[in-house]
Amino acid sequence: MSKFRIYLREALVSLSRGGGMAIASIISISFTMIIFGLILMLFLSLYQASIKIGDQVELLVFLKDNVSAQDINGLVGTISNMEGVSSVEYISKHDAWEKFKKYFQNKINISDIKNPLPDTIKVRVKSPEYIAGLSQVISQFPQVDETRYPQQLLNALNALVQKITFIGSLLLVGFALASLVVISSTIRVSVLARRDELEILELVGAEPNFIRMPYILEGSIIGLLSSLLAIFFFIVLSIFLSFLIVNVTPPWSFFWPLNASLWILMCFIILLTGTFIGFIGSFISLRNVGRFSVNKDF
Amino acid sequence: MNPAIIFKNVSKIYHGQIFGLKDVNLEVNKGDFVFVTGHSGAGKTTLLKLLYRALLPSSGEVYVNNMNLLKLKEKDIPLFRRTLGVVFQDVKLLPRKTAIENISLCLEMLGLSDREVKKRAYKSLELVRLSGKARAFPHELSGGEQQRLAIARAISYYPTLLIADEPTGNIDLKTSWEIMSIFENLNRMGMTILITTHNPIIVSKMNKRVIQLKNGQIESDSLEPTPIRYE
Repeated sequence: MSKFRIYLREALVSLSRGGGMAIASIISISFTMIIFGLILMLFLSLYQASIKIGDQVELLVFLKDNVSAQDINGLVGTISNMEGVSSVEYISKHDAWEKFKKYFQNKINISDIKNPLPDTIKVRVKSPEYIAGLSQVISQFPQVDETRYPQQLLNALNALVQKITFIGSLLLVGFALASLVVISSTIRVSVLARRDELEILELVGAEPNFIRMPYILEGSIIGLLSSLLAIFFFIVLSIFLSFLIVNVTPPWSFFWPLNASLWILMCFIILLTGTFIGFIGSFISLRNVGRFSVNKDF
Repeated sequence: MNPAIIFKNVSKIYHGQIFGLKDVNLEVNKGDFVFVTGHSGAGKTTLLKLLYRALLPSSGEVYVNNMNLLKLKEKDIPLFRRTLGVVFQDVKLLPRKTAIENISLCLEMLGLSDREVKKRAYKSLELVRLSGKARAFPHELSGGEQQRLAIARAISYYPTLLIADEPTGNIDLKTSWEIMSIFENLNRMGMTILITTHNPIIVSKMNKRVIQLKNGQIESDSLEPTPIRYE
């Protein structure tokens, strides 16, 4: 049997025979992971909201008078192929005026006014950070009179995203470290309870890896199971909130308040963090417990 | 003949002032069966711990199977220990493992195939007449059975030297004789056996070499059965 399989088997056997201690560890660590997940969820929701606002920002390209249809088509094609552009929509001055009139027909009398609106190209971008660069390049085209976008909003949004990312990352790293302390203490209690086992293995000639690896794997599995328990909590929470508060229809309700990909990302981060912290936590615990019989020389 | 064990002027001092052993010189030949006796605190356990390198001597040299334990690197200790069979005073069985798992796990350290591990583990249990308790956990075994399991684990490596610390310490006389007969059989198979005990009946009836320790020093060393004095 390969050594890894032995380590894994030992970890699983130890967990299954660990009884109350293993269950207590999993439950206490899953509480830590739930708090970690709540911070992560809040951070991702804010991030998602800021991205959503950013995605709705458009670059408006006003064309000069008397630009030929051929030139307009050419320009639309050129802009469509530019990096960062997600969609392009051409609105002729005629269409724009019709829309304007329809909107204001009962509010003001505009029948005598000559159409003042220019031909316009609406450019949607893949991400707000492309907008300034695109605006600069597009405004250089001879057919273009002027480009406009909500610069202040974008700047504020950028600052907000940066702040959320910074504070969120700081909070998450801080909490991950706090979780590490909690988890390594929990695992340490379990390791100390089995200190005799470690000593016996050492006395019968087990190599350090043979002694430590099953415990480290066991810690990782405890971290993984705790994360799965925390994710289960979030599934229940999401369903509960979506039905009670948002009243949206399944399956989208399931992911509320995040979108599907961010929800999966959140689960993935919780799983990875839990497992990694379980791994590191048991590693630290074993290092602190140290070696037992060798050179116990008084 | 190459001695299996050599102690050369070995002293062990605890906390800088308490003598565990004092200037001990000793040789045990391969294939010997030796009892080490003496009352509590005489130095028996210290002597054994020096043998399986759980302790280092404060002065002097200890050789086991021609290996100078002072020169043994820390990384080589596990490998060295796997050349010995050790039966500990408090048996030291893994409490959450069955009898067969207690033995198999140690054999797996040697990198043996699953089949060989299983074969050797069952063979060891058979040698100590414990085949019927393979699936029992240590707490489900009697004191004598736990001792036999500890012996089975110690001999599963096929060591050339077996050392046992008070193997009959907490068991009745009948079970003690069963255990002694196992040791005798192993000795007949060529294994060097060194046992510490303070049971005078067993020592006097076994008719083996007896090394008597007192206050960390060898008081007597005789091939003849020696009447043991306890103060």
